[in-house]
Amino acid sequence: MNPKKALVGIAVAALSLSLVGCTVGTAAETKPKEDAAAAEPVSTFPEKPITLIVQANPGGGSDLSSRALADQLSRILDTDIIVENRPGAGGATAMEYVAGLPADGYTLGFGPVEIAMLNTTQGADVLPENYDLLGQIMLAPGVISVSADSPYQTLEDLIAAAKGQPLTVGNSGTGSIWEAAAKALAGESGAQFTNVPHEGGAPAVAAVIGGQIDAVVSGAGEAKAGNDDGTLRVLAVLHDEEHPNFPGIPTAAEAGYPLEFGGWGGIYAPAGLPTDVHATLEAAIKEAVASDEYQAFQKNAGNLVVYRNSADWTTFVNEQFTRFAELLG
Amino acid sequence: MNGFAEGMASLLDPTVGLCLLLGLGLGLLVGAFPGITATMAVALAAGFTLTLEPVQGLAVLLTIYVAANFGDRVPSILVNTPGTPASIATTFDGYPMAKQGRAGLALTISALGSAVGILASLVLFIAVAVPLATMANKLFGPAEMFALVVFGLTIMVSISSKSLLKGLLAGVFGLTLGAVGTYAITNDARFTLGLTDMRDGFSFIAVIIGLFGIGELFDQLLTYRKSKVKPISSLGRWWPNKSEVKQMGKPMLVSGAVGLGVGLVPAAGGDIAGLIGWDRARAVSKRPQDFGKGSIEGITASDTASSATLGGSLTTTMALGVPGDSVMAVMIGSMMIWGISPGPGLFTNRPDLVVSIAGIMLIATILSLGVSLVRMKGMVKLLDVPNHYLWATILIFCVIGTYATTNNLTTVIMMLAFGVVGVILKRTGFPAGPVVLGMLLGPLAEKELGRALLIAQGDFFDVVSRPLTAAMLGLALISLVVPIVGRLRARKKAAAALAALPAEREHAPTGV
Amino acid sequence: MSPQPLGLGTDDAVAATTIAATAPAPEAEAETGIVSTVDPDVVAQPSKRLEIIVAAAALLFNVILLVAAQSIELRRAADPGQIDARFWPTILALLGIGLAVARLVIAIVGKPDERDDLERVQPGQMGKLLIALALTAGFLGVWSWKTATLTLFGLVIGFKLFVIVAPLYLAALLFVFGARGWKSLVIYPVVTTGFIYLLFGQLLRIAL
Repeated sequence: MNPKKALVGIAVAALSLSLVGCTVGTAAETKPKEDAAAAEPVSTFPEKPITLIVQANPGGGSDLSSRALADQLSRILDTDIIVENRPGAGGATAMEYVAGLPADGYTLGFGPVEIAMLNTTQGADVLPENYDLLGQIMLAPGVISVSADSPYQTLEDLIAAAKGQPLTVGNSGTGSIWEAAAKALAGESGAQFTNVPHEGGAPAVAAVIGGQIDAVVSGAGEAKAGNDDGTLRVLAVLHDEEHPNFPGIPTAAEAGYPLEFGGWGGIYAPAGLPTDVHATLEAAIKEAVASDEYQAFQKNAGNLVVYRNSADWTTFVNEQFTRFAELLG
Repeated sequence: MNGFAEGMASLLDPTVGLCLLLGLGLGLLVGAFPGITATMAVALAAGFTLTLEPVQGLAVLLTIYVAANFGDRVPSILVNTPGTPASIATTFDGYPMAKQGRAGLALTISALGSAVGILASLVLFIAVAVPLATMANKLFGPAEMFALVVFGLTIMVSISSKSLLKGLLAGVFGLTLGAVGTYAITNDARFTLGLTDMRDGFSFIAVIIGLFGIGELFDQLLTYRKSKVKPISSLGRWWPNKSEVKQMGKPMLVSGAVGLGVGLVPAAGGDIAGLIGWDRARAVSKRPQDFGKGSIEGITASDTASSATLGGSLTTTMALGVPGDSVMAVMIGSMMIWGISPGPGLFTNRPDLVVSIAGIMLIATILSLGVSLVRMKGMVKLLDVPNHYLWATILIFCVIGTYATTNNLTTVIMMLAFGVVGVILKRTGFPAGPVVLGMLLGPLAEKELGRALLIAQGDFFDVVSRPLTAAMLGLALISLVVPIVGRLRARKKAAAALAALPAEREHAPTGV
Repeated sequence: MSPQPLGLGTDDAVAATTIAATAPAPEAEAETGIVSTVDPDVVAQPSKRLEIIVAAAALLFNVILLVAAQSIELRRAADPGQIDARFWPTILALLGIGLAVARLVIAIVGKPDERDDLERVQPGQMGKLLIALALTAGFLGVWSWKTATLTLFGLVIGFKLFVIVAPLYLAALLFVFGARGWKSLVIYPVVTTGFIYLLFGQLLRIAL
């Protein structure tokens, strides 16, 4: 058994023991409250600060999105939201950690697309059924680009060339969503791609501009600066509609390959939340996503605000889970 | 020149001054505490600077960045614990100097070296950022990066102070530590014992705090005698005299150049530059034997080099949009939210902002230098603190500091384990420098080679025969062989001298 | 490890192996402590035995590494000309074995290294180090529970364990390191904990 888990287990056991200890003293007070909660549709949740676990370092895309949402959630739920960063293992550290915590609604996590991938790419104990998926809050569609001085003007050019000889296609890392996207495109079109992993999206885009590799699949945000200043040529957006930051650039479907890949993210909790808590949180997240502040934040960050409610997102994550298992397994 | 005037004028706003002071205080503070790095402070500050105007926000963030680069030298010199990874090489000569009662001098020289390094790199940033960054991006592909890293690894020979074999074994140990965790190219897990917490390998910060700081603390504890004088009994004088200022010239020049170059390479930062700068200054020094034993040239070199990467990182960040180091990665995140995209376009569309950035860095450097020199005088009192206070305080701050990096106790346990490893290495004569160097460069070397091979479709000859790659690998070979031959020769000489004096001690000065 | 009278300057060999085996042997160390040496018990002495032990340990480490490297699980075999996850550790292990063998030979036939830059391990100090480590482990263990609640007169008070355990830990450390008196054992731990709580807990928002 994993000693870390054992530690957490002991901690949880100790915590619940101490809680049991307290309830003895307050049993008389707690009972009526519960009854009241049952009688009224409005629950008393939340009664104390909520912790939102982020799987990446402070300052990154996941962290900033989480903090922007937390600001709104805090206002809506009228409680403090403590954002806690637990980086490591591509997010598996945080996701495995949250799965082991009590499902009381006081611990939430930011779930990026990796929540559907880590089991396949790392064998991590991260499965959709371990979580209550409360709602999707953002989407960063993928784009495929080449250097501005590249001979390939369209996606069709690139694929035609890659049928003759293998072309090098950069991505942000092995096991990333963008590697999956390149593999899917190769599989669909019969092109030969050598996938070259980098330490994140920005270095991969720089490698294409520097002429080290032929093409790159990255998030829309990472390609924006190069597209704006003319060093990068974006060939297609891997989304079902035009991206506001890339006017006039075709979607992959328009270019002939109906592929959709994006770095989505949402909020999850350990599986088995009480129904009322689940409902309160889901509604609060929906309201937070709709807020002007949050919408403005994501627009500035170059992301799209795509909301899915708990049921839709759960279905979606399960579909993605199967898709990635096929692509990357 | 319109942009210049505009950029400078925007700095005259009094709120910018306030932001500068805030950043200064925060930066010096987090730099001085081992574990909390400038990255963390900048990331946390980024949360609230988002609500400010870009110039104000950048004033806070960039000043933290600069000031932390001054603050982190202090614990390196006084307690052998690098405040941030950038000051690893500072411990080589800084701590010995402190033990010789020259801590004051070490602190002053370190601050001067850092200031010179940053200022030189700012000139580079202002003058040639875009062409330089574009050229570096074109020239340095994975194959060239691999060669550069191999060249960096040859420094192991020169930082193996006593026994060459022990130094190299320590280096291989460090390379092995670096290999723990997921191999980035194929995503296969190595030596993780099935633990999720081990998938990223050993935390670098935990390892350096353990090896240097906690290892030294444990050693002091083991060798403590009641009658013993404290390791640092006085700070000595503060200002270098004329001959010492003269000594600083050459290492500043050499290591400054190293720092500027390394700063332009996105994957390499102040930690690597400090080590390489120290090594290069030693190679050209007239007194290389003093390096690592409290050399003024050594501390000048390490601090000038590591600080000179700041401008280089800023250059790659602003001119390419590729984060030059982890602080800059956070900075890019913030700038995007402000609607500013770093890249070549920034220099043509927003020259005023570029000037503001350089201006903020300049003022922050001068302020940090001033505060470093003034504030350090107050530290004499620290010397009167009894050992038990010092040990207990260092221990708890290292524990909390490493915990703060990940919010995960596993990192703290790693740090303590490496404290034990550190004291064993120290007592058995293995230097810690090569371990850290190996851990830093090993994963880079492997990854870049892997990536280069992918691009070359598996043709190894194609990788090493690129002109720049071949040249750098050749240099690496030379810098590996020359010091070894030198060492062996010195040993032979010493042996001959000993043979002439049979009554003397029989140990050669440099073992193998 | 059996306690035995040890010769000149082998204290560190014992120290090293003791730590490595995590088996404290205070008796052995107490005895070595009394051994007086030519240098007035300040400077560590060269030790052949120590050199042989560490060279052998280095060899063993690299042999284990070589074996472990071959058993790294690969998700799929590398394409021709590409390096897989086993390649680099294998190279390192082979390099390490070569260096360790050379070092072992030199340790056996040559003179041991000078250790005049190190001080001797003093009697009783190894015990203090182990106690300090144990205290730290205990501190981390309790702290990992993070929060606790206390019931006083029917009132439930939740609090962070850190603010209780950290001063106790600091006081215990100071006591072991030789501090006495209420200033050292009460005021200082409380003030330091308060400072950490403010700096890390409040200012830097670390979940203490």
